[in-house]
Amino acid sequence: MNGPQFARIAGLAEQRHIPLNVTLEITQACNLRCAHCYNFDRELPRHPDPRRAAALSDAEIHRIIDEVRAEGALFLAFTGGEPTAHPALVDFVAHASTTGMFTRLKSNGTHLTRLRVERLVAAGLQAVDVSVYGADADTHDAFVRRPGAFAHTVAGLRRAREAGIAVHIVFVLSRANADVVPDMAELAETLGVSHGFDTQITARYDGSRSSLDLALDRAAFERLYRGPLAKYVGPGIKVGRIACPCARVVCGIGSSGDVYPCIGAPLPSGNLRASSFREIWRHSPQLQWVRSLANGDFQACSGCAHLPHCRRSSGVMLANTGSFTGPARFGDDLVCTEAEIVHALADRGARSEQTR
Amino acid sequence: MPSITAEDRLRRASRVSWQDIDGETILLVLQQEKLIGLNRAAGRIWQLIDGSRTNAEVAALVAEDFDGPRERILQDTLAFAQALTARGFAEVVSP
Repeated sequence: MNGPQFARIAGLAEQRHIPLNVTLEITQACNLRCAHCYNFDRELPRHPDPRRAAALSDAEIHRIIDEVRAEGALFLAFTGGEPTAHPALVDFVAHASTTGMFTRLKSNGTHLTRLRVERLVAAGLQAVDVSVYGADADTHDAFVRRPGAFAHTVAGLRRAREAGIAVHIVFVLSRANADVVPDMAELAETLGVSHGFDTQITARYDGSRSSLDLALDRAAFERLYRGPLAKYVGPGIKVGRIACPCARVVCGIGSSGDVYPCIGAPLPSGNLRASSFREIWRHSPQLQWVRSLANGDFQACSGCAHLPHCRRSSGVMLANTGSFTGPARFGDDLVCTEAEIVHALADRGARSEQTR
Repeated sequence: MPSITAEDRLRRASRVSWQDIDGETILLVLQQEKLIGLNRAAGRIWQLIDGSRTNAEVAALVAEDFDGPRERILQDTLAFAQALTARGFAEVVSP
């Protein structure tokens, strides 16, 4: 994307609070049982989470597509659950594309059959982000707890790429796959798709925390940033505002119509069955509070020396610590550990450069 | 490429995403990694080319919106339509 023009538009949208980037959960259903799933523990046969029983109807989803478009959305990502599990996905993509929005899927890729890919392309789908948890079937299938999933995922993302869809792999790193990071990067290169690494696993939206048992620990971060992730160790970024784009240009909508500052930030800010998107986006007290946050509200972060190296997300912090502006103290979340390690390695690299 | 005429009907290409942001129409072309800002008149033309109107009808509506000379706006509309189709941002709809 051409930088200055994009920066100008993003700045304008931030000033005006235009929800350029909306993520819409269209289902909680999924064919995989990922160990880290942030929605709920998918090993449980039944779950008390009321969102599962209150899914938006097709008509409601179509209405929401029109409402977010009217309020300024340019990018619309369909997620879940697994969005391809929804029988009307192609209709939603076609509708959103017809209004002019850039449509993207966040998918596990297993249901990207040839026919479905053809229909999605015809409907206007432009991009898909596929989550992968290893570089081979053993690691990946054990994590998603579904034998054969890796082969289907790889076949699906190949089909999408060949059909002209922009495919991006998100490798979610955990203790289960931290030793195969180089293989994962090689897999993406072999497949000819872009990739990135997500180092943060969160507590679940249902309040359960067993997913955190899989999160990278200090030793794993040390190993990764000294080794395969060393290219991400740099001089750091000057942080002007600690608050992320949540509720400014980013918005999330849950599968039962709850509006969130971001799909990764479980702070219910109104429900689209009770109010319009415009009403909630403009007047929700929760969203207005998020927009009002200043650096001083992030007490442990505002003076933190590691801030330029920190990958903090308010949504992850809310899920993990219960506080959108958390952590309360440095070290209360693993992202602090990660930033500390990256910062130390960056300083060491800078010193060795100076002595050359 | 054949010239675009006043009687042609244009439709926006589906690979071009767009939005009106604070009065400015922005086109997003992923394949070319481009974000293009249109001025107000061009943005209005872009919004009107949905395949249902001829270029002459589009120009007439733009002339009304901007209170401008109809013939000159038609020429500008045709030039813009030509540029859009040449770049694959819009296509002529079969009658």
